Amino acid sequence: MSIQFLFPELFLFAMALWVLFGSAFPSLRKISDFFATLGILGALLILPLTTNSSTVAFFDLLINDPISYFFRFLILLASVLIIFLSSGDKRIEEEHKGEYFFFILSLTVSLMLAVSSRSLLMVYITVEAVSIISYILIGYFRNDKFSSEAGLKYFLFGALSTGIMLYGVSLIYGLCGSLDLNMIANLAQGGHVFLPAFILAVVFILVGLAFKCSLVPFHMVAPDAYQGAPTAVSAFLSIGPKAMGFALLIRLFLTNQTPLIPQWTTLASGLAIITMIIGNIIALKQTNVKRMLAYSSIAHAGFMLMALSVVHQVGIQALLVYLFIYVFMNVGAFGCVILTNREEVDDYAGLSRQNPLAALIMATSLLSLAGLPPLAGFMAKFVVIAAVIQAKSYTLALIAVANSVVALFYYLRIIKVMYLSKNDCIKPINCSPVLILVLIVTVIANILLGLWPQGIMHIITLP
Amino acid sequence: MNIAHYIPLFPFLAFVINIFMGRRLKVASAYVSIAACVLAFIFSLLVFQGFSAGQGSYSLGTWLVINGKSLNFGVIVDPLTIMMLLIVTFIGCFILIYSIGYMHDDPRFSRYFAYISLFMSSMLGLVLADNFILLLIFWEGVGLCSYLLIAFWYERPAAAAAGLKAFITTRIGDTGFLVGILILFFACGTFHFTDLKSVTGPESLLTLAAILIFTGAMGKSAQFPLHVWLPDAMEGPTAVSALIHAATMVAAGVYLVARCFPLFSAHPMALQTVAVIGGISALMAATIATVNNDIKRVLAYSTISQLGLMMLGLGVGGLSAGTFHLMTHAFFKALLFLCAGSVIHAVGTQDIQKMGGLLSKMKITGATFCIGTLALAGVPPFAGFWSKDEILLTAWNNHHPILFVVALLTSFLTAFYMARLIFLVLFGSARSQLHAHESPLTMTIPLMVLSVFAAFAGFIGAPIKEVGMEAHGGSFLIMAISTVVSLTGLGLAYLLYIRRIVLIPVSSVSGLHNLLVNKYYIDEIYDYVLIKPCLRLCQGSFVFDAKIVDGLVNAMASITQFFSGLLRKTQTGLIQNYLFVQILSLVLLLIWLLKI
Repeated sequence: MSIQFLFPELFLFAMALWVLFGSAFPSLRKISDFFATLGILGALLILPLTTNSSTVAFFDLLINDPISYFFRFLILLASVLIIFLSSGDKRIEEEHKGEYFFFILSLTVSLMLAVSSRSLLMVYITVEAVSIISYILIGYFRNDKFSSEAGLKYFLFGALSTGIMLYGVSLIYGLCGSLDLNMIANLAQGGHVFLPAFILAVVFILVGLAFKCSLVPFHMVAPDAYQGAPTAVSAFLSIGPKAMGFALLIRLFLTNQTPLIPQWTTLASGLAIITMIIGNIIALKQTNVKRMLAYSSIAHAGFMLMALSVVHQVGIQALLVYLFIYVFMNVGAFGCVILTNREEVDDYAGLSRQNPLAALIMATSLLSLAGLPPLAGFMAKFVVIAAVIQAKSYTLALIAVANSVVALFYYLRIIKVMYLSKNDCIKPINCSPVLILVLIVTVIANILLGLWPQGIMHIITLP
Repeated sequence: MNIAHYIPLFPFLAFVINIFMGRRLKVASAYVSIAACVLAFIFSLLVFQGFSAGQGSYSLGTWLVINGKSLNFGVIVDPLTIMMLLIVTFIGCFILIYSIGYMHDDPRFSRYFAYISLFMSSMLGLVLADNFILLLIFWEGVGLCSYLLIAFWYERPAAAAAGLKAFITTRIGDTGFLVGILILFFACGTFHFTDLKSVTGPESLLTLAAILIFTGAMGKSAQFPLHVWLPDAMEGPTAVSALIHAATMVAAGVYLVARCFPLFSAHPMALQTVAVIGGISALMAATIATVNNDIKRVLAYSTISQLGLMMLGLGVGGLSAGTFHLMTHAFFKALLFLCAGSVIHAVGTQDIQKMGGLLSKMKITGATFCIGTLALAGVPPFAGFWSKDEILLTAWNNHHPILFVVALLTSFLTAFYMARLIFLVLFGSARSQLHAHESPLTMTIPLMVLSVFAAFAGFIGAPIKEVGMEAHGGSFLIMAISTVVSLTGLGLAYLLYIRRIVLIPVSSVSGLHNLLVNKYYIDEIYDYVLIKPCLRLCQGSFVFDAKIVDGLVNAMASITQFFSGLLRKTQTGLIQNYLFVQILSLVLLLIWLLKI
């Protein structure tokens, strides 16, 4: 039965509609975050039941395999953390709370469908859905100049990207006579396509996905968007669409763990290198923490793409481990921005004296992002670099390590300001119990996953 | 029920509580530590009971997988571990109780209890670990805590230096230890102790691994030539010395050798090394102890000597003898240090030449001090006699005549210097103005309890039995010899220090005397051969680092920052530019891809 496969998404979407319906009534609107959490938790509970259903569903449009299972789980996990972050954010006003959570849930549903796509048609539709919801969420503060501007920029840029992508899709259809990813891969790997035209088409699609993953040089709008968007939305954008982008890259380029085009390894390592370098170097001079985190997330995307340049199961598995850990690191860092109510680096001065707990959480998340042992971020970097070394790409591994050193600088700068700065910035912090709870969870996850990586390695084992 | 892994958690919890809330808890922090220690002791007893009922080692789950070999959070439960658990928690309790009195007016009272709890936690974890890597983590924990506690009074330059010396010296051993572990893994692919019985691999490589592992033990157990830190470690609080010398730090080395005994016994060269190093340390330290005038340092050298004896016992093949001596030694050495602490607490000096006649003023301390001395000297029926006898017996039965003589000589010297110590401290008349008073009950009760064990622990018998132990012959003869030797030592000291009979004028052996007083000049040799050249190298490296390496790094950093500023300008914020870059990149990417 195909429908069984979609139960989590259906449940979640029903919940989203309920939240939207409830937003008409003040009493229900007030607890829309509660319903949203309920929806995600319900979907998380239903998700394991889908493993038994058929492998392909809905006329081969969707696929049910370990990768889609992992990504759906990851997106639900990120989503529930983001909902907690959002409900701790005072800037999300009471009147529009219902809509906000409706969009978060719809985004989750779209992302979940995207990662299970098996046809380019499905890929295009879901990516477009994700983009449209993202525009709305980024421009959510409609009275805020930056938020609206970011939303509009994201929209224009996204429209161009998806336009190029759609063009690529149509070219592929012309070349292969099919939109089925498996079929396309079979044709391409069998050498039954005219390669230059095929590469042209594939690169067009890549542009759309690279924009979602924020890979350099398709990253331009990401920092503006992250800075302007509500912080919780920035956190979600840095995780959800990125995970989707990578899932689709795996689906498109590495079907059956064979590269779709012969140049894949060169292409992926080239993009990974410039993404890491540009992301890290521009991050150095940022004065706004959200913007810095945006560049940091670009650099991390480079790291993840590097894992995919290893055309082997080990690389894919390393990417999955990295993404899983990345969720906790990034939610922790963005969550601290909400918690401390500070966006500028200088505002963090003396935080360790005013609120040692907030400073400690921030420091843990940043050190984990920087990849310092024994935190989880180290393990994430370790598995990726190990995979790259296993593929004998020593130069790539060396560049990655050098980049980690550069990255350390801008993460440590915030820690230095928090702990060593003499003058204090007095700004009330945003003490929401839910927020503190979720941040403590991320800190514990960062420590536990670093000390006991086997825990996730067991779960994330591809067949 | 598998509860052994909770044991180290109690002191660790006490550490966490004391380190974070110590200032608010004040004196109560001592009770937190003691409660944790008592709980750990009770759990150790439960584990003992469970072991008697047939429960053994277990694993809490996989920790890492290396090259397809899994490494577990494994807990080992066997007689050796249980013995160590009981010793650490039992003696630890009394040392903690004693510390309340000893440290009562220290400004960092709670900090002290925090460290000591962490110390015990590390040691308990160390004896429970079932593989080298887990053990190494706790091993380093023990090293760290010893550093923190030896340098506890860091305002005193000597204490700070002693802490550093202990840390660095043991680190040298640890480096060897780590290399040894890795060689072992390389040679036979295992980190687990239980696999040591059946390891197969190149003979020479395994021997090398065993000897390198032994260097770790040499560092921790202060064996020649890595013994230099232990006498200096006397700068720490006396209760810490008691803990280090009895139950934690130095016992770790002997424990390690005992734990890896199957590996050593399969490689005669390695075993021989252990025995010889042990013998050298035993004799060397005992001779130095005969001339030292610092009450704690005499005991420190005696510890090195006794540890040497344990190593010797293990090295001649006596797993049971070595660990038995480890157990009895724990009791009487803890007792002796606590007695010494009580004396220092009372008279405010550590120079035994200034003491004398304290027995009448400090009855409890004096009496227990005598019991400890008799136990260490190996006079029957006190504890030390039985275990030392076992070592002598093993050495004799396994045909090591030279080592047998070394052990015998050591026990003679031991009896002599210990008797000298108590004659100078407790008997005779006071040699300076001393206002001695008996210590408070929190200090004397632990002394009394420990003295009971120092007296009678020998009757418990060796905790680890080897096959065929009872079949040995000639034990009565050796018992008699060792008794005679001990009594001769005591008698000689009596003649020299009570009757003041001058057998040989000091001037005639002044060369030897100087050699001993200067501890064979080992510190000076190290200073000249190792430390000075090292410092010069460091100086050179420092200049190189400051000028060239830092210069390069700073240059790189400035260049990166410069590019950062430049690249940042590309982010104009104008959407037209973004879209242009997008299209341009697409075109460039296509050209690049179609070219390759």
